[in-house]
Amino acid sequence: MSLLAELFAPTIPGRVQAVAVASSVVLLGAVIHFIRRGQLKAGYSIIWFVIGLALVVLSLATRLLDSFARLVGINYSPAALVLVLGGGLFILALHYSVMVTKHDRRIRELAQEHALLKAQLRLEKQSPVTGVSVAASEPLPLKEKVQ
Amino acid sequence: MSAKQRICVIIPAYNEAETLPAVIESVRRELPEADMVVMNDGSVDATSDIAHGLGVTVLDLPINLGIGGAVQTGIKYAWRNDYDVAVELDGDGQHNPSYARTLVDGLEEDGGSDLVIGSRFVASSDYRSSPMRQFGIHLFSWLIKLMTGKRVYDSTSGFRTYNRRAMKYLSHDYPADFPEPESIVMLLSRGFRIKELPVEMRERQGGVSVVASDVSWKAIYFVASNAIAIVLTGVTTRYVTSR
Repeated sequence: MSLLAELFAPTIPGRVQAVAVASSVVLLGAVIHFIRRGQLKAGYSIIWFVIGLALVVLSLATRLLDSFARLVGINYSPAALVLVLGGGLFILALHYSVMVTKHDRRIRELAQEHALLKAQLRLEKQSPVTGVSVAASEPLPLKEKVQ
Repeated sequence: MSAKQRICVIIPAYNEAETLPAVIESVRRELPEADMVVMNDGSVDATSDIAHGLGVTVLDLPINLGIGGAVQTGIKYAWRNDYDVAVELDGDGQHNPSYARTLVDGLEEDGGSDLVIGSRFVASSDYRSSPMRQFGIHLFSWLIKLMTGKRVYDSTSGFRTYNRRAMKYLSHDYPADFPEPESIVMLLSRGFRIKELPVEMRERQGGVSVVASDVSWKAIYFVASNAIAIVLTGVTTRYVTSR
């Protein structure tokens, strides 16, 4: 118990800690709320969840925050919280760029298949007997599956 | 050219209602045996209706994909329908279809090529482009040489012919945003053979070019993003293929 008490003993100004704890709890709460309502896919929210959890833990266990701040050479410990938040947001932005690229490719594939199938349908309507194969009798798999 | 070769002319078109009829007419005159496909890239003018009215196959993309997505749709069409050769030619009238036959024949000459590019700079040409574009094209040529060891003079030309080997590869993997130089790097890095043949190009007959004619932010953006794309594609292809 004394170890826990030691870990959670306040080492940063009370007002800073109050703001840090409150805002990180709100962030974590919002993430959980959106996941529960199905508005945020769990796979996409994992980075948000990790950022929120890290901020809650570090702003409560200020000894841990102090150790982390010393490790990265920050004198004023609460500034390390900003570093964690900034780093998390950077990873998140990169993650979203990757996701956007993936969706961009998928949308492109779908639009192309749509155009090819529409042309085939038009041709089959014009000559229903011959039914010459035009486009996508065997749709190619998406690029991700090819690799 | 062998007698039984099936040729598909693929024409990307975004709001080209004004120029498309003349382009189609001209292709019919120069390559009467070829089938024609217009990739209507989400045009908001009468491009689709006009193309349908002229009796060519029309691939109506439901959204605007940009030149890369549109050209790849045509390549997929040609590949899946067993065409031997795909001829890419812009719908804006700047590519003169009277050179199409030369580019088709070029695929089989000199031991064969997978991609033949109609080049403005292999021989003297009347084509005049802006200083920014000239600079860009020289820079791309230099970067492609740096990345692949091979010199391609007119890397932004969209007047090209593809054989089945190139079609097969590009129908799976084709760059989206500024596709011409990037696709050259992709193909050269993977051992495809590319040849340039001289063509004359005309100024655009109508519509608005993707790249502004003078030095502008748009032109600078075009040159910078193409240059970055060439380097990144060169580096990543090398990394992926050596893995």
